[in-house]
Amino acid sequence: MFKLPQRDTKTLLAIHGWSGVLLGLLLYAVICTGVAAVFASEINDWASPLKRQQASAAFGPGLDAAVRRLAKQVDPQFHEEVAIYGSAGGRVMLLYHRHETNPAGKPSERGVEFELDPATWQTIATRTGWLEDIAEQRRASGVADFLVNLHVRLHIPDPYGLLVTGALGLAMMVAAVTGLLIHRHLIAELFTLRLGRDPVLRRRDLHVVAGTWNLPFAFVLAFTGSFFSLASTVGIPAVAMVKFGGDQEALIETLSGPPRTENKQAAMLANIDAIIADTRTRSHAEPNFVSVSQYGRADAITSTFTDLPDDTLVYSSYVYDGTTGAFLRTQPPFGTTPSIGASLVGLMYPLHFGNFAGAASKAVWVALGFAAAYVTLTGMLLWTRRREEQSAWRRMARAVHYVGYGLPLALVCAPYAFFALRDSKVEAGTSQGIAFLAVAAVAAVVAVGTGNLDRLRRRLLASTGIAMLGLPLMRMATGGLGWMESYRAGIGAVPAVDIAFVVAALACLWTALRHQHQPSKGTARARTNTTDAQTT
Amino acid sequence: MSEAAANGKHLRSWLRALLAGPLVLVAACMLMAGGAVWLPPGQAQVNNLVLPIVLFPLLWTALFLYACLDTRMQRAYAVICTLIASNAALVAWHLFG
Repeated sequence: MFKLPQRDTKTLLAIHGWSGVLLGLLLYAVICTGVAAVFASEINDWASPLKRQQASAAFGPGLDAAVRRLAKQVDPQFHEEVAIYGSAGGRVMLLYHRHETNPAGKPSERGVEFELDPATWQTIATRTGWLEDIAEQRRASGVADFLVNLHVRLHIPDPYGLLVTGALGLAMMVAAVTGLLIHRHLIAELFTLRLGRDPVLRRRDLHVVAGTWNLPFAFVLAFTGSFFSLASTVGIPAVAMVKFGGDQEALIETLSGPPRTENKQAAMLANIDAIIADTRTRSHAEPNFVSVSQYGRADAITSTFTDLPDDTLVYSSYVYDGTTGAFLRTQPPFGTTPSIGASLVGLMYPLHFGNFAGAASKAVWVALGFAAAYVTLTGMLLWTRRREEQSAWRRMARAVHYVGYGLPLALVCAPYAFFALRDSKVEAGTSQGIAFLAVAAVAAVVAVGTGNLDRLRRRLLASTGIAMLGLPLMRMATGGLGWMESYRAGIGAVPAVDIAFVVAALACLWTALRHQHQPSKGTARARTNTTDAQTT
Repeated sequence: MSEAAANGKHLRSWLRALLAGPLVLVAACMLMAGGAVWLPPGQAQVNNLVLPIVLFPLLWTALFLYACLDTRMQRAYAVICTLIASNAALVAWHLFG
């Protein structure tokens, strides 16, 4: 399809391979955790559902009274802004805070967070401090937070973790673009799948077919992912330096639209329940975030954000006078009027998270993400297999097997620690991190001790299947909701995630235990050389 | 292959890596910073602030592939260094001019 000179094709093929091999193992970890993180809210609902007799809306009646009651309990300096948002299992969080520069010199928030049950509006937990410390103390959302943190920054402290994942995103973009350009017969390779008895040809074809179909999605994921990682670490500081002398808060204020004229006089807050009802009517969507700035003052502003309505891909917020409740304007992601820049940023969210059509689009994103992980893994396996005569590449092949099949096992085992220690004082991230590293260490011993790589793959896959089968049992054994209870409470995520784990477990066990035909070494080598020649 | 030819090829590889690695990264960063100055802000007054940040990954990818593929390395160096110098001058003029 693309008739490039042979020299350019060879260069692109080398870039494609090396971009995958050099960063492929980390990229695989980011993609795997990203696939799971698509269903982060459902995973949290599954892990930490609230026990109740019937379903109740997160932003239902009574929220306004709860906001007023709890405002009296916090230091008035934290009335600068109140953030209200849903969390695991239908919980509602109220964060009273002020914007300050944290000890690391970065813009941050400091205040008090209340975790509430929306059925009774009783406080379940209270946390204080910097936002980063509050996030670490959150227990109910621990399982998904661990996954998301691994996906976003590989648990490396900011800004280095974001820089690493940003670089991985750029490497994935290069692999996707070069993967497109090196195809000489793009249409034919979309459908060429030789599922005969030769595993080498089959693996090569599966990699090419999955990779070719996945090219547009891989590009979109890499582009949006590198944007999210690099915007806050490189982009905003650079633009703030040029336009605002390094003041990042000033840049963010400019992007948010001009602030209201300051008026420090005390004033009653408008009814938040009524504002939320008005937002539902205007947007035809469910609100998911409410922000009240300058709570208790005459210049208070209430902004509401919703899930994406059916007919739109770019989110908007609804801005109200915080004291009268009068609707002021619909606001795009940036600025006060629509713009190309704001629309592009708004598009980044649904394109990366796949949340533009509810569970259906999320399921498609998971499937495409799984295909991207498969392409990354099989690409590294093919690359190392072609060079297995050199001892360094044989060691690399073992590392690829270890990460490729050991990482899912460690990820599945981490929630065991969450369930076992959820009533203890150990932070959810700490307990899961220890479990993750312990399983990774055991898998490393197994990887070193198992001579045959296919046997290693089967052992790790079978272990992952068994761990997945046990996870719903562990959840129930440590006080989790049963299926009937969750049905009555309107939490469909509990049986859905349980069933997903059982299906995935059976798939792992079937893959690990099925019989495979192995060609003789000579035949495999000859086939590999043939496919190398075809590719180049 | 003679030793001189091998050394020349080795040097070209290093020069190509220098161009496609650090210099392309600097060029993409400078384009982003310069874009905040020369891009029109639009009616909402945000395009010049947002577009360079959004387009940064695309800028880097395009420059990286160009730096790897241009057969005439001197021309590639000239293009990348011109981008760096022009945007650096624009930013300096905006900050100190």
